[in-house]
Amino acid sequence: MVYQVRLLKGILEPYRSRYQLQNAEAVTKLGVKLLFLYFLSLIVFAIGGYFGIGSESFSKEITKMSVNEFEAAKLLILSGNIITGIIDPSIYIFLAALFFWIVTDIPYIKLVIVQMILFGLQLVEKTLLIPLFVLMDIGSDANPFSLGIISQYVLRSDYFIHLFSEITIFQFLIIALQYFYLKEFSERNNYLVLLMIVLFYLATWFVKAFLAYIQVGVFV
Amino acid sequence: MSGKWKIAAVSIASIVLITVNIYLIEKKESKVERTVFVENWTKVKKDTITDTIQTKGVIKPVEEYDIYFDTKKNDFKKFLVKEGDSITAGSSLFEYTTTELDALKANLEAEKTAAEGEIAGVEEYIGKLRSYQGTLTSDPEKASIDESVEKNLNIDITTGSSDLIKSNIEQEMYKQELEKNSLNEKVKMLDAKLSSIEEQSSAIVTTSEADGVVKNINKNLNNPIISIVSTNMAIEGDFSEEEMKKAEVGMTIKASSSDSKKALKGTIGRIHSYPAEEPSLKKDNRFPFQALIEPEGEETELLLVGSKVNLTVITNEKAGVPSVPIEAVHYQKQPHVYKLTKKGYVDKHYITKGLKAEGKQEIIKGPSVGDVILMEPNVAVKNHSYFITPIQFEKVKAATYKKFTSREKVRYLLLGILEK
Repeated sequence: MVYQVRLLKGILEPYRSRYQLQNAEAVTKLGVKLLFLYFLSLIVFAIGGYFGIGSESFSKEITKMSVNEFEAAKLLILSGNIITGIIDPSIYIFLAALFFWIVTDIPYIKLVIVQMILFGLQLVEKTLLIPLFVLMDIGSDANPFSLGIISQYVLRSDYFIHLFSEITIFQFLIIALQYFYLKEFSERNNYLVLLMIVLFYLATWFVKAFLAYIQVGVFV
Repeated sequence: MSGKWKIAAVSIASIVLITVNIYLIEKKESKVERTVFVENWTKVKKDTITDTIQTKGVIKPVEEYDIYFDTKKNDFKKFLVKEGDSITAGSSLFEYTTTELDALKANLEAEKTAAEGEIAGVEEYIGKLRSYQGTLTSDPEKASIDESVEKNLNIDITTGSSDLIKSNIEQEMYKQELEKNSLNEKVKMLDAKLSSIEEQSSAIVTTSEADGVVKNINKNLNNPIISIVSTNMAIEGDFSEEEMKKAEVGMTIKASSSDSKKALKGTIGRIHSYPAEEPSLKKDNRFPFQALIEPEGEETELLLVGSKVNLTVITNEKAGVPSVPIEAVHYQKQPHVYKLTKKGYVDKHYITKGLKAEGKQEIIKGPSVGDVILMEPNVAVKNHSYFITPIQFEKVKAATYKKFTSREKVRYLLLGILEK
């Protein structure tokens, strides 16, 4: 059976997709869909960068710089965002697939396809957040899909506030979907698979919270 | 639990979380940190703010003199200028004679005639005396005396000795000579008077008091018989009631017309404090004013009377004061602006307002020159919010990158790659 990569179907019709992918002998349209994902990612990150999302720590330079310098520096930051738009899917799709390939017995190509489907969902979340941030005058710590807001009322630590703001409804959805796919593909214990997935996401949240916590500008 | 229940439970949980989150963000005194999306921002500039009145005016001569003529007492002779002639101060305008002088002349002439008649009488009398004196010496017996002479002599010829008579006649002749001399002096005096009157009445001329152009000559001799307008041009217009509150004599004006490229400069010379037409409730009352044009080479002389000009009256001007666009100033009890601070926050700053004109607002007290001010924030954001700004691509210049060190370039790129 030949499996045709269809990302939206992977999210909306998980049972069918899982069945088809499980019995797949060959895969088509992988390259095209991969390129498409990279392209989308680039666009979404560039749009976020255009609005200056995530540049709070740089904004204070506005008082020291001339208008031209400020805008020129912002263009560099936007370039950085676009680079992230390429790095981010690479890590999420290939590196994560590698991790799950090591801890499970699933073929690498199938893991890549699952990661691609999940990355589509990541992009949906990011896209939704852009207008929310701009229109509601909020930053990533006040992501209304996350636990970040409540944590601001409870916690004092900036690091943990960043961490909780990474934990969103979408992340839960992604974990659930990933578990849904991987538990059928793997021969291993379902709980072990779930543990691996949760550990992976916990690690990414900690890393992202850490990146938000350290101010890169201070070190370089 | 079946699949449907799971989906429902997750959905409800999600909706509850989102609702709670939005409530926590938007409630008053929210603890949630905000990041304001600042679309437009500006720096406080050192600027000149000029408050003006924009109005229209028309070019007219500065002044108009009218010359009056009394036809009852004077006789008009002729005009010495034509309409449109340009004249200087002292130029003759017209000639006339006065009827009073004519009467005086006639009197003097009569007096002169009378005096001359008297002289003739005296001379005749002296002649008679002389002939009597002659006959008396040659033949005293035959001497007959004129009766008129005898009366004057006051002596009795029949009784008096001839010597007495002789001396009497001598005396009388001296007296008469004296009389004649005095009469001659009188005639001379009258002649002098007459000739002086003659001189005056031949050409009494009215002259102009100032430079100008003859605007109008009234050939029917109705007053004013001549109107003269000055060559200096002024601008006339009128102010509305609102503009009157701001306008003052001495304010600088700038005028531009479609004909001349060069703008005219000047000052307000006169403002009427009474409206042009009777004050009325129904109409907008207009107060006329006149602005004097500063002479500036030949340009001003070429001004055509009646040209329409657009007039800018500078009512207030402040140079080198901190200013922000008026859209950046917000009102909620007190005027305030949102300043972007060095620490990366949006902070509310109360200001004391100064002059407001041309879309600019002077700041007397508040942020100083160079401070970054947020334009048009949509929401009254929480104090100490972070802010982000979109890129303005048109302000990015390739040359600017030469100013950055490579360390800085790497730093900004890394900021974009790593920071969330």
